[in-house]
Amino acid sequence: MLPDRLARLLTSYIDGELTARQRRAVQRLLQRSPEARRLLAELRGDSALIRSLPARPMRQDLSQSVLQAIALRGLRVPPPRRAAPRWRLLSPWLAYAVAASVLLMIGTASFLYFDTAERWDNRRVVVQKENKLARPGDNRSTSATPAGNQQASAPSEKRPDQPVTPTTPSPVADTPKPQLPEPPAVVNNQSETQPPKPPTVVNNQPKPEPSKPGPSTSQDELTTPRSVEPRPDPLQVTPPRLNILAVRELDLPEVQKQLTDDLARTDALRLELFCLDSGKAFERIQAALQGQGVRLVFDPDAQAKVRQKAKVDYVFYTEDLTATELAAVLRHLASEDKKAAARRPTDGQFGKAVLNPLSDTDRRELAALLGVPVGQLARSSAMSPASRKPERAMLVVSYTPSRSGAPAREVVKQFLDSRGDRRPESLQVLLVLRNL
Amino acid sequence: MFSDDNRLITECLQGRTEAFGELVRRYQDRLYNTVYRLTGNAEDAQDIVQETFLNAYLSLDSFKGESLFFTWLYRIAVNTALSLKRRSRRLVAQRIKARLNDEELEPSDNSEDSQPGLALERAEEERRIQSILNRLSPEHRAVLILKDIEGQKYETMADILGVPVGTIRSRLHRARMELRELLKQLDKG
Repeated sequence: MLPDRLARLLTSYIDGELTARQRRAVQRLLQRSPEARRLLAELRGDSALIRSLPARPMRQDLSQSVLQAIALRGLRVPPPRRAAPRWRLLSPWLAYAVAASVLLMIGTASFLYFDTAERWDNRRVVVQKENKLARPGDNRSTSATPAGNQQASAPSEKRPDQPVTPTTPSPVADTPKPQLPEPPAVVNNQSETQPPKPPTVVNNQPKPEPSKPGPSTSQDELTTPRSVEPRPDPLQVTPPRLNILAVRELDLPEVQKQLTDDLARTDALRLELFCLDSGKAFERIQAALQGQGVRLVFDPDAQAKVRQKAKVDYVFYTEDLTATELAAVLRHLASEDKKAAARRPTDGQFGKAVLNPLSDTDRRELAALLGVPVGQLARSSAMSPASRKPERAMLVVSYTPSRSGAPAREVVKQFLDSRGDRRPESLQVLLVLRNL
Repeated sequence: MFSDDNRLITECLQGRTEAFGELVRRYQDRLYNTVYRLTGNAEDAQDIVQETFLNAYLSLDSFKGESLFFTWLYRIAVNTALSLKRRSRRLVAQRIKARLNDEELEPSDNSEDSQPGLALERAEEERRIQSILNRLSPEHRAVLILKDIEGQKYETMADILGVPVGTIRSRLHRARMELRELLKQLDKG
């Protein structure tokens, strides 16, 4: 009999999962041991036997039924989780360097801004002085002087009685100057009758982009209304799905508030709870519901699966819970699941809770699951508090959409028939417990 | 192919559900074959594959691209199939019995219609192998199928089954030894 250690090497050998050294050891073993050779041949034969099984393709295109189920259940892909920014993974020194660069850039930009502003002020002062010194009627210095020349002139280089001209050729003087638009006639007229006003500097100030003569901004252009593109109405929003929440956070005050707000927006909802193992998660839901005095009414198939602790999806349906009670159930669920996870991390069962308003599609799906017409789900309006039923019930069926449409079982009929009128403020709740 | 998967996943995350249909078409056969060999039952396999795709759709945002999309799908499918098997061993026993009585398996290769004798012979052999596989524990069956049918590496299998590579190594060894014993018994009987 070959020792187990060597037999293990042989199984890894036929799987091609040995290191070179182990492979050499196995080859030496095979050379000297007929028993090893026999076992290897048998293991290879067994493996070949399994590999000889023919491939069994699916006999139908499943994509249509999957897409249909997605649409029927109103499933949506959650928005992508934001990955941690890459810079967080880099050295902290890089962060310091980036911060220093940003500060440097801000400093440089500030300097340039204030420096430029000061130059503009200086130019403005020069122009104003020139305007004051200009003889009445002589507007050459203010309106006919090319702006480019003024740009090149410095206050200290000018004499008050001279037109503003550059004393030294500027580096850009040789370049062809753009044709400036003629100054508006109204300025000249004003200058003849009134002392020049500071605003006339507008005509003398260099254009922001003199090298790019754009279309002239005439008064007509400024006053002609432009075609305004329609902007989306900020108040017009599409009705959103309610929310995606982490079950274990449902006992936090701020999350509870958000949940209560969400529940207040609807009177019928579909709540999907995602769990690791519905066999265990079911017990927690049951305890949370019983804490609110809710009795579970089991479809026989679902009851058998619950007893087996089978990992299957379940549907719970009730019209007897108020938003406050449902919030309390979820709070209880969150706290119990958190406690379990604290005892042993693998005991935490719940992931996300997805809340959606109950759509017509959901109602049709529920009716198909229960095996009743959609109309039978409808229930008369809220009853008076005096006739309120003391007991609240919730129907539990296993969630097997592919087998939906079967006739309703007796227990389902009884559950639906025994419903009274709805309590005031009670919600129609379709809860789906789904395995991840 | 794999960059194409990523493109389809991205499109799906952006709300184009049809892109998911393309992923389903791309992988349904391979996934079905594996799940069918795990469960030994066509109906169960179909349900599991459908639920796998729906679960994958809902968890698509958690797919980080660290493994191949198909490996990720496998993880969901195999674990679903294994859990189902663990929870209903009694049902499994009944099905194995049924399988041994040759009640459920059908010939898989229709192209051999012209050679009905050969087709029957192959179908018989398939039934025999599948019935032996069904006698193994679900964990042992899973590693054998992943290794011998899917040709996966230990590392990928560990990723799919969520156990260390060492566990895969020893589990596969025990599975092969168990299979050997079953085949010996069958040969004697």
